[in-house]
Amino acid sequence: MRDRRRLGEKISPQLLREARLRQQDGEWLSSAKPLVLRRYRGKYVAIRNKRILAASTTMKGLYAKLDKLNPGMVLITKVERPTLLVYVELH
Amino acid sequence: MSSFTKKWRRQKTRAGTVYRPVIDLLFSERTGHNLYSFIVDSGADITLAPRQLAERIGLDWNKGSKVTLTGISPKPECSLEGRIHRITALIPDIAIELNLSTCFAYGNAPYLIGREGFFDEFDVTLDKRRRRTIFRRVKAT
Repeated sequence: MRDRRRLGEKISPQLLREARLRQQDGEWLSSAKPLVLRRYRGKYVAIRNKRILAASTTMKGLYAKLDKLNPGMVLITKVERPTLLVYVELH
Repeated sequence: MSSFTKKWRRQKTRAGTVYRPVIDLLFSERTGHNLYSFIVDSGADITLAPRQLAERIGLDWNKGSKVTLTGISPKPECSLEGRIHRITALIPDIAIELNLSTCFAYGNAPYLIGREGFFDEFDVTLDKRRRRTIFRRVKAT
């Protein structure tokens, strides 16, 4: 509970507004043509203002590109390969 | 009780077009904030994310509880190492912060949100016919 309050104090209305703008980038991704996304299959991507700013097969690579670009808040997601998803088991 | 609805994300696969339930989580990182799209996975015990996210949000990955992740294949070379940490994330849709048990895995792990911590806070309706997820908050902070 203490952690929640601490983070909550840092979240300004402006930040929330920006996060909600980035959510629209997720909607754009969903409607993007397969041809546009083909080159990003299997990659992590960073999206801002309906543009894929950076992509990499690893998060390490994506963060390295973002650190160079310093674009502000982005939406990060993984464009899955054209396969069906199944489960993993933890031991 | 607050609630919100999210459209499913479209993805072309070799089996045709599939739609996947997603939710966006905002994380406070060392150099700012970023939003991450997670697939809502009601079959997953806990949340899964790549190891690098743990480091990005200031966690010492090694200090988490050690786990091994395996898929369908029983081969040891197909298994991955992971660490479970307790993290805090914000849901921008309703400006609520959550504590989630999350497994940060080596390799190209997907972003999946599992039941622990999340399904305690929300009733989740996966409405496949309308390709949307309804999240209803069940627990007050």
